[in-house]
Amino acid sequence: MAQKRGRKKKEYRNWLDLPKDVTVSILQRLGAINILESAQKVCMLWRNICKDPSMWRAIDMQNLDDLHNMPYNLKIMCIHAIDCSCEISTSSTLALTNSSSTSPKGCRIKYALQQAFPVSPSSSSVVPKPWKSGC
Amino acid sequence: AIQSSRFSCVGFPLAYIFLACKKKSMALKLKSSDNKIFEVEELVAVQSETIKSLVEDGCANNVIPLPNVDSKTLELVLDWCKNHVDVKLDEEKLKEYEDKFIEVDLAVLYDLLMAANYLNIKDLLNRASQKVADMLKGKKPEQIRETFNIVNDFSPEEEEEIRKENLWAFEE
Repeated sequence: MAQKRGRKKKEYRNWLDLPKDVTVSILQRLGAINILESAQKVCMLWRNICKDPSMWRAIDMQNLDDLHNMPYNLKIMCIHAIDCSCEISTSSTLALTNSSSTSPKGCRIKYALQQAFPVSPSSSSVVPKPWKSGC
Repeated sequence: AIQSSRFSCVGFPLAYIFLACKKKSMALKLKSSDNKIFEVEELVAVQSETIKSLVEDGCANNVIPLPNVDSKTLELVLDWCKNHVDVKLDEEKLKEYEDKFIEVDLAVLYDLLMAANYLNIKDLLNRASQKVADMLKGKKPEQIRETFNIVNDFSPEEEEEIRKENLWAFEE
């Protein structure tokens, strides 16, 4: 830490010195793809924040409509994102994602996938934040 | 109809005088970290929850020192507060103002985030956080590190873990 400070002496603004709440609030505004592909690979601090299940209360699979050029598989990514959110106890995850909290986890995942990947593959619209309504 | 117009005739100036008195008597003095004094209407200053609670606790009679905010940043923050006093303001105009306000360089944005957090000004904190998030979107980790001057502090083992993690995303 001391070493890091020394290096940054000429610029006193160290983005890693932001209060954790602020960093969380910033990273929470990124969609799942940006978190998984970039933010969590920047440094240890961000990585730990991104691993926190509270980051995954809502999973936003929004992208730049470049589905065909995307090198990664959105379905796997979405499942991974849901895994991240489920690291906390199942009951609290359900409470966070579904106010009625009666639907089983599998149903929610299926719902998310249906929302993220509409039946017609040519449709480029990927629904952001599909979590508001229940299964 | 006559009655109602008479009402407004009496009511309007009264309210105006009341407001004017209230405003005049309620000026707060804020001192930035570089010892500049800012005289601000209470209505403006209490946009900051931190200052609001000082006022409520009766601790705002003298100069309020803000050791974590320099004058340059405080000036910006107060400008934001002034423009957010009247919530009935035209929404489109307000958005226009906010968009223009937040077009600042990274260093200023950092100072605004710190100040908004310290002074507890929710809407400013949200807007500044959103601005940073927008800057992060679509950037690769290396680009983010470069832009935000963040050191890659992963150990070789962690690098390996990340590399492995990459694989799942490309699986079919």
